[in-house]
Amino acid sequence: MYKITLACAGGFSTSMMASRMKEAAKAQGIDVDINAVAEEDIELYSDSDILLLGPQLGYRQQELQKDFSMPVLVINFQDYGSMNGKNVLNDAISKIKGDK
Amino acid sequence: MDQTIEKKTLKDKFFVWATKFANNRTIHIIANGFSRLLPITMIGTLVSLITIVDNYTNLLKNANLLQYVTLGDTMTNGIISIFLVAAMAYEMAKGIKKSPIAAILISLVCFFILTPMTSFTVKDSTVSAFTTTYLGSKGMFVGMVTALLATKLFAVFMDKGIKIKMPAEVPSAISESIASVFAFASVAFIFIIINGIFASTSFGSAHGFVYAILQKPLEGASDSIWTMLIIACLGELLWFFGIHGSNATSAITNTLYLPLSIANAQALAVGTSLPYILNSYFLVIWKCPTRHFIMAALLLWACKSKQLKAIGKVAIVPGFFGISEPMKYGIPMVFNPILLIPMVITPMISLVIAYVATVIGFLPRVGLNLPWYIPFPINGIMAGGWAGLVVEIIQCAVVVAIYFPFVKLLDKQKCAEEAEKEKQAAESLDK
Repeated sequence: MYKITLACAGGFSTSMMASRMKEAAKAQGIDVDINAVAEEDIELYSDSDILLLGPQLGYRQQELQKDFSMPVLVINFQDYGSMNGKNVLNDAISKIKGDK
Repeated sequence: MDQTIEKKTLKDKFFVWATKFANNRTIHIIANGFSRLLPITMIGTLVSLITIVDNYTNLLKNANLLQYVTLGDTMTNGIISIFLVAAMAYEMAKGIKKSPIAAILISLVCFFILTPMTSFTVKDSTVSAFTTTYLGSKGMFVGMVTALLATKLFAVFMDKGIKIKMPAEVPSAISESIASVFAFASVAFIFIIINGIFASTSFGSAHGFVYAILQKPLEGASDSIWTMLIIACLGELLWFFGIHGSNATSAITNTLYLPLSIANAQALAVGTSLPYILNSYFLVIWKCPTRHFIMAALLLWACKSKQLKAIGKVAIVPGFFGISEPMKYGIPMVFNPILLIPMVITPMISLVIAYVATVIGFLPRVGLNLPWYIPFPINGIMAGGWAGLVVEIIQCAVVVAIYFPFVKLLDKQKCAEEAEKEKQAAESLDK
């Protein structure tokens, strides 16, 4: 199972993305645990396989990568705008697999 | 191609600035510390709502129960500085990787050391008490600085403080405990000295000094509509570069405006007149959160471009709840010079409309913490009753008028692009 955590300022718009990703995972039969959180609560999910940031929080990527051992990625602009859960999910999983 | 390169360098330049500003550890800690207070201020808002309803029904008042309900305000907004100290200390400890609970405890100790006490006699017994003056909104600045400073000092003493050499037989837990006690005591003693210095001045206490020298003039600056317009403008400019604007500016907004919001909230809960027009609650509710819904509706119903229509479809429901990200990144609005103008000026004009309406006495002052995701028209009605609804409708009309020509221009551009693509596709099919 993959544990994927998404973060944006208040966890609102990433929660939309998270539900799209869950749908995509279900359709592909992938076992995932996806959570969307506010930036200040990322710590509670520091054991995730990957942390995905909404592009509006992309400017924090380097700082957050210093704080956490999990890979920190910024979600692609276009995929975020179109709320393309499938693309984001697949990108995240291939990044996790690539790291292992 | 040239254009994208040019944008990139501009973006890079701005990123250097924005990253420095928003990633500045202290600014970031302050922003997170304030955002921890949201649930507490919401309790105060609920109490205010009950009070407002009770002004019509008088149910609680007649049953002599209102005094108990307002405890929900007195024990939240009324002593907000205590919670701010805890929240700031927690975030500071997290930021510098130290024990949060130790940071919270030493910060509270130091805050209470700085806060003046009074004593008086009731029926022959002497009572020592904190007046709630500096535990509430007036003490927030001192609370913030105390938590940051005390936690930092504690960390310094823990890391570099005097290490007492113990014989090897002494368990390490004991020497660690001694180091921690020493650090606690040193920080507390520093604040005892600070308090002594301020107490001997004409200000009487650190609170008195900071309130007179810093917070009061800041309140003056905050009371100017220009300050708020600059903050709103900066927030939208950051969005143009793909950075969450209100998030990046929240440390400034809350330092300047949250104390004023809390003061208004308290006045509202007890039914006295609200002291401030401009505050952080005003900023959130009156920069027209409905503009995202309007924008999405324009895409969906006023545009011919397939791409824009599709984005409108994705964005309309989130837009209704004040979420704009699908449009920010879908159109995209980020780095879009056509949409920059309406994006920046609509919140500013909305603020001016609400400000003028309040100054002339049409619109009531804001004391409720209404999160931005409360949709139209509930947010306007909650903020200002029927007058709020009228102001909100005027704002929306202005937003539509400003956005419409720019969206049309964008639509024209996108349609031409789409037609060109179709033409190319048809040509390649022919060949």
